[in-house]
Amino acid sequence: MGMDRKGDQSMKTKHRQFEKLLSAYLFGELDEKETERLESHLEKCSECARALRREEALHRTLSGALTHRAVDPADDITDLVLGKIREIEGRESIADRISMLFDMRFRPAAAYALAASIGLAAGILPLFTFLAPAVAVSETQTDPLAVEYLMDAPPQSLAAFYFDREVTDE
Amino acid sequence: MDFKHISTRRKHAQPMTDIDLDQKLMLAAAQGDTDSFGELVRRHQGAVINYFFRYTQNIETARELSQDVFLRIYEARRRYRPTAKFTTYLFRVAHNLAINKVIAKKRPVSVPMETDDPDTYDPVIASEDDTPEQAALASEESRFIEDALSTLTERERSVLIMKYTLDMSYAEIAGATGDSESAVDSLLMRAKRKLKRELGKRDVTVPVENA
Repeated sequence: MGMDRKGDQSMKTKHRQFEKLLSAYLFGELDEKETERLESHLEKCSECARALRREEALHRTLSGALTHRAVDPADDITDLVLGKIREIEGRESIADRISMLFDMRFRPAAAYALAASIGLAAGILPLFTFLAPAVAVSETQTDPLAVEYLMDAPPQSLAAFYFDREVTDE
Repeated sequence: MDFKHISTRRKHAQPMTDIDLDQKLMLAAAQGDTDSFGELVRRHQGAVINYFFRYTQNIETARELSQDVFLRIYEARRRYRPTAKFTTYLFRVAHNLAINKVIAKKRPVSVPMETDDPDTYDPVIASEDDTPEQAALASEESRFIEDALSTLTERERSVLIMKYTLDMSYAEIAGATGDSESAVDSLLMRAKRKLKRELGKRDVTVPVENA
């Protein structure tokens, strides 16, 4: 009795091992040795042979339902993709031109010149914004500092004038 | 009893010794040859659109996602190295996009049995030789299966489609998903077990041929 139960158990384990191979077998994924081992077992074991037929039926149903369809010419996406690529390339060419100027390995002089111009521009522009209200003097809005500068016409530079005033104020 | 006709013995992949046409086209595209990239799109759009169509069950969404895949590949073209098959690379991008939760939300949970929506393909699998009754039955069965697909996890669905729709090998699927071949086998088995259960609930019987 005990032996029978033990035998049943080992048979079940064996079936389970072979059942695990059925899916891979149907897909042709087993190597030659595994295929031969399974096929010789299937010859003798009606239970596994039945399991294979059930597995094969599902396999066939899924293959049919999930079949690969030919793409309709109206669904062709090639031109859409290429159109978007042209947009990407347009953006990239502008970015490339800028990055080429900053490429220190090949054009150090150009990179330094560009950096210096940006630095100068950043330094000078705020001064123009300071001067603007003084140039457009009106009764309601006058920058007293700028007016003082224009009236007194000090000998030092505009930057030094502002710098001195700020230091004095502290 | 002969079982040998059932298995479709797959030729195991040979080690790659030469650069194939896809890789040549991709390398040319990386050098700025847009026509080569267009050729790649032409060659593989069918597979990618089919993958996303089976995934989302909506042809317009499938086309949009397919464009997205090709554009992502184009944007990364300079980093491309021909170390694996181009299709492995292509479906790695597609798989990653598919399992993204944002796309999962777009997917309809259930496909209506009758629809006039031109965006929804009629997944008739019957051949021209079938009678109208057989064709209708096949179509209904396909709809049940498409509906049952929505019960799978994103990864299970992706792997199942790669296998059944695209006929990719375990090795190719593993390359695309980043899993091992045995993990792919387990995912497929789990997916099929779930589908079997779902089809049972919907009373769809799978015809078993007696030997």
